[in-house]
Amino acid sequence: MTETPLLRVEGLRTIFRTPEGEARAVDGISFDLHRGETLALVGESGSGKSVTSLSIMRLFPEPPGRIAGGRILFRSRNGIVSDLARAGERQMRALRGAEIGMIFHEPMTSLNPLLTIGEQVAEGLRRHADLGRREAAARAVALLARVGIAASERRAHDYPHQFSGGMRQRAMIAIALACSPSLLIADEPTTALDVTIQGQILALIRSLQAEIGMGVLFVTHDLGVVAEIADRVAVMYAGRIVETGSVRALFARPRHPYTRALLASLPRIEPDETREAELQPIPGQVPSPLALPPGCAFAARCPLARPICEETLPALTATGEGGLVACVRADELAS
Amino acid sequence: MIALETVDVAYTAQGRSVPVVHGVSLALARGEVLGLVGESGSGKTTIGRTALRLLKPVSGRVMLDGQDITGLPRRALRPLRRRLQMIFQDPYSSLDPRLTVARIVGEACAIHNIGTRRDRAERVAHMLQSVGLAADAMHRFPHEFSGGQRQRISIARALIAEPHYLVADEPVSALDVSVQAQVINLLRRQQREMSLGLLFISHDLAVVRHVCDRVLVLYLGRVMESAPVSRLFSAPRHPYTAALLAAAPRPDPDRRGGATVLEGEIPRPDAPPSGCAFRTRCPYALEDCSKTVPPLVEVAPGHSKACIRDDVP
Repeated sequence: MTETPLLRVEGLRTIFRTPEGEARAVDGISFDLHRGETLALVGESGSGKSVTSLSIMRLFPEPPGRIAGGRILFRSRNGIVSDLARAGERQMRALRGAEIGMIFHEPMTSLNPLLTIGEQVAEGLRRHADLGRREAAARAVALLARVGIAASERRAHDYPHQFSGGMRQRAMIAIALACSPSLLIADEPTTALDVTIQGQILALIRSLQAEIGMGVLFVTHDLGVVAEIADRVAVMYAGRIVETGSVRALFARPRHPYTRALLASLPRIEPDETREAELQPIPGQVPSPLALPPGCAFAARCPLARPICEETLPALTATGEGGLVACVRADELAS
Repeated sequence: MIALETVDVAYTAQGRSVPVVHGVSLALARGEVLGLVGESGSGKTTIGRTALRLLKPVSGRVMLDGQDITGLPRRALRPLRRRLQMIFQDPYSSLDPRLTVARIVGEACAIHNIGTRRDRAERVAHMLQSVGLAADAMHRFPHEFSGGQRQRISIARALIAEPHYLVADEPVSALDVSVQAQVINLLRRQQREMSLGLLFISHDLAVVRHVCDRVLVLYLGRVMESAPVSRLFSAPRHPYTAALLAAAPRPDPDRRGGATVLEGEIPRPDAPPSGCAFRTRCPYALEDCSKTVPPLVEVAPGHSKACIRDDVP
């Protein structure tokens, strides 16, 4: 793709000051996201995936956090590219909700318990789309119906506690998409939901994406969900991207030892005689963001590590399948 | 054996009794792993707590090794509790933050008067070792451990009194997959070594398939299907089981979008549908499904389902 991406993250570093020192939560990551595309940012706790999404929205606490380097280039509807890493709160407020929609994993804490669902959907429309009270209310009801809330005219008058978890997430999606944003950031949006409801919400996000054409940055720890929703995948480990690729290539031919280990550790629903009876855990632990090693952060847990892995940070290099992998042994492992 | 015999359980909310478990029977033998699966609101946790007699059913019986413990008062239950243990989903809130690991793990020995003080220290050290924690863990506090290590501490605490039965309620749901695999392997190894009867409650079908021998599928407080694990996954006979299996995401992009998405949500327990509880979401429902609650009928040895249709799914 040659058009300017909707979102280009370049060398982003986000640091948190703690009593024990500086925690490098996001340690120099780069990726592009295009319109109409879904990029999954996948990783375990402490990988930096959520801090990445919060950095783009500038919703992490500053201080103790700060963006210590890199750029977050976002292309607005009017074609102007601005660096969100340097944007002021006023500019961010104008973008959030209008051009960047957000949904989080716990809709109950993101919704205001004192306002009706309808009021909360209408709020963004009044602020960003300049609609009057009555118009906004009517549009809110239509949006709630679009995200699958039955009897939306009546249910718009309900408060969040009167909604089930799945309906709250639908309401959150209605709020996020009220102004047809060009970028949707979805941080573990289905993690708290049952699988049947998760399936409904993923299907809803997919159909709305096709309708609005937005780019979706989907943050999740769940490889099953990644396989279900992503076009491309970026695997994060200890604040860095260790591998990127198209969803098919990444699952069929994972190149980084961490990606492989992660896939191998999963129990499977379909029986597979070739797998061992015991699950294959990844030994050891993620290194502390306070004391990242100078070399590959996965080296201490990697069955394939060489002495050089502990010393030098491997660069992301092309896989030949349109992806990138940060492993000095990637070429050997491909065969 | 722990047996529930046509147990009904109800909660009282705002002075009103809301039944949440209806006529559930199950048997858990030592050395066996029985899975309970179903969505939130299916009654999994309530059934687990009833099996341990932490809840008292409104009707039906709870049997422990042949003894009826349904109506036993707390004091009479206490000596039996040594045989029964539980571990929870959240390894952060289920450990007392003010106690050292040695105290947390040793408490069960103290409660049940197992061994002398010195024996206990040895037992604790041995138990920590067998769950894969270093000996110096004893003198540290829960906050010094990661989620996976905390779940190991919970397992050590549950197993130190050598229980016969363990109820594990979503024990790996809060853990990262790489750590989840460690804890699952540990639980399975301990279960085999100690010949534990394990009631394994989980919403994650892949984990259930890996861990369990038999599975009960629950919906709105009723058993929909019960089968040996391989049969349940290869030849589900209840539409709800089939829908759950279809909805579970696989790490395989080639399967994407293949599953039909089950519509609607689980009804509220205070306003259940008439007849079959699942009929409001069932793609195969007939008019008759609203008339009577379908009984659980055996369709093959050890395999039962509660559905009037034999031609689906």
